[in-house]
Amino acid sequence: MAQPKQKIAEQEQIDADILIIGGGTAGCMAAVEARQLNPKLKVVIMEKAHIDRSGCLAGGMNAINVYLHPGETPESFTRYVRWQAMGLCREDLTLSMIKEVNPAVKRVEEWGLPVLKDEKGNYSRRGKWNVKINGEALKLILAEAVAKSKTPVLNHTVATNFILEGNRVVGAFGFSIHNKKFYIVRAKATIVATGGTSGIYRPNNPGDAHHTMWYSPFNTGAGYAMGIRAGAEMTSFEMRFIALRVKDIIAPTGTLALGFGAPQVNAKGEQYMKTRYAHLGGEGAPTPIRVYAPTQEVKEGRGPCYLDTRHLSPERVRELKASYLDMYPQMPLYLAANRIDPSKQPIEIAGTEPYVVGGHCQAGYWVDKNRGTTLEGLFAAGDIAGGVPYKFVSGCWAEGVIAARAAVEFAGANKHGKIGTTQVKREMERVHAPLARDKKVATGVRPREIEEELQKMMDEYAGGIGTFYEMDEKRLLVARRMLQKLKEQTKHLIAENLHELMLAHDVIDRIDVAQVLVEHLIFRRETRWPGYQTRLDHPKLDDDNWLCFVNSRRELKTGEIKVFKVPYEQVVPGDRYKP
Amino acid sequence: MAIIIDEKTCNSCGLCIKLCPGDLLALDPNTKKAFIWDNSDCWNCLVCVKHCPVDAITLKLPKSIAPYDATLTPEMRKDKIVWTLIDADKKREKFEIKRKSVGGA
Repeated sequence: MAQPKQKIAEQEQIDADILIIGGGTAGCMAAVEARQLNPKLKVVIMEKAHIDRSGCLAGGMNAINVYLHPGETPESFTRYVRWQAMGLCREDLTLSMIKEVNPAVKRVEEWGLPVLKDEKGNYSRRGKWNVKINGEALKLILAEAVAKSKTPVLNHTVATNFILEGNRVVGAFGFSIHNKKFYIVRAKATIVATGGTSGIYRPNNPGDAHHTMWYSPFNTGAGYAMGIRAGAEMTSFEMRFIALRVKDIIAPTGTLALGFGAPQVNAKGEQYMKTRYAHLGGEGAPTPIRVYAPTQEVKEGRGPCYLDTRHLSPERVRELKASYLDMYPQMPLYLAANRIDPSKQPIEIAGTEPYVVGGHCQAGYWVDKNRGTTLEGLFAAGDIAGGVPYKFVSGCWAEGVIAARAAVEFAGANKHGKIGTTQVKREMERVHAPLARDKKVATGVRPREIEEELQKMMDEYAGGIGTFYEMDEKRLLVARRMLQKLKEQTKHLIAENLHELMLAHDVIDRIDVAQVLVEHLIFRRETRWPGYQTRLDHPKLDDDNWLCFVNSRRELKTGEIKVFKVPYEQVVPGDRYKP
Repeated sequence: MAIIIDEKTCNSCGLCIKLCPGDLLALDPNTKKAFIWDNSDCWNCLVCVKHCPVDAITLKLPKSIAPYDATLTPEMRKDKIVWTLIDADKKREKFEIKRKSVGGA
């Protein structure tokens, strides 16, 4: 399609008390909380798409997956999460998060979210920690609450870097795709809530279907990359998340397994979770094991693997489809377009490409109990914050609340920082560079080309789908070298228009995230999370040497990524390998 | 293939361009109709299909994962969404699901 030449036409400075980067699950709740705590504060959201339908919740949700039902306690939840995470998580953060979850769910129900209830008026359960909802419009509901809180939103604005004054974050830069502006947002306190990273590894589907994936393909790791470039301390990138999903359409399987009681079976009809993995909890084994097991079945010649739905009546199949329509409507369409009747045919499953996320796993900013990062004035919430691997939607709300409280306090106690003019000029040039470069030279590369190169090499050398997620030091060292070369190539990125400029920065960010990821994978010399992090050269779990967090920090001057151990602290007593 | 925009039906309102979570759509300066920069970048999330006021957009899953023709059409009503699913054998199913409507959307 022929388009006129595009460029960023003007710059605009906005002053805010609190800047929230990312108007998703965590960011929306943070904005509402901050404005409630202090209505005098000016809170601004910088959002990459449009807040009404952006991020992970675009299509909706059919369940809240973290909730304390009667009889459970913050401690019982923390024990569960620790067991899920193979005995290692930030227990202090898990405890502080879960204490905020139920009030947050109540709040969103009051905003209009339909929550299913039993005859007694209690929330309907779906599994131990889950609540059934009709959440098709969940994102619209959150956006409406933000609008009512009178928080201005910079929609369609791509965040590119933090503004730094020494070790303090004093705002952020971004560019708008629709109004062609470069924004300089100055803030006393900043909350980063941009979500996790997809698209680092080769995805399940090729070509036309490359974005037929579960995690949002538009969560490209901007918030991680900005933190990495600013020298923030990161944790646990090596605990990648690989989701067990319906093959090809990559639909969530919790609905099938928890909501409709479908067990895993292999090609021989064996329920291998109940036999080979009985010692780890069978069908209810920790999440990494539930994806490791079918991967092993396929590798050892007993695949394909399925979730067996053949016990379902036609009425239950209808309920199953209805359940997906609230969250992942493409799943019933997929069944219809493949002549699959789940009551007659089991549903084939597969692991996804590895994602870097802090809401299902614990990759992210190293934060204190207030969700303060190691950079002054910067707080992190949701998928971008590390240490708590079982947040999901309601946990992200909880973290939004916690981060907002701390940001409000910080903004009240601090003045605006100074923004150097050279810093602005340098960033404006960096952001604009792919548009400014000559499009006709042979060395020019397009964002999609670098993206595919990144995904191919990560798949082959850093444990992607193609290698059953397995890795060893020799191949990881190749990945390190190849990433360095890729980074060099980003100097030749070209973009025709502002949409492609966004894609160029997406891939630049993904490479920065991938570099940190690979350093973490090299560093942890054990196998802590089979599937998520399988080291062929160090196949055993090793509590003597590796019951600790792996953290990292990129040196601002040299660009070197320093990786180091940080001690784990047990807060809740009990066997760490039992729920 | 992911979404098909019927240019004849498109009323150029720009709602799909505003709401696409990947910012994948734009208005063609010549025809004044919505178009998608690259159909392979579509997430199949149906946001544009749900919000289009004139039903000009259809989701068609990529051939490599959905070989037979099937359609899924959402109809947004006050407090509920009515879905019509037509499978490869033309069997039709309707689903009505409770939903909070927000600001007319």
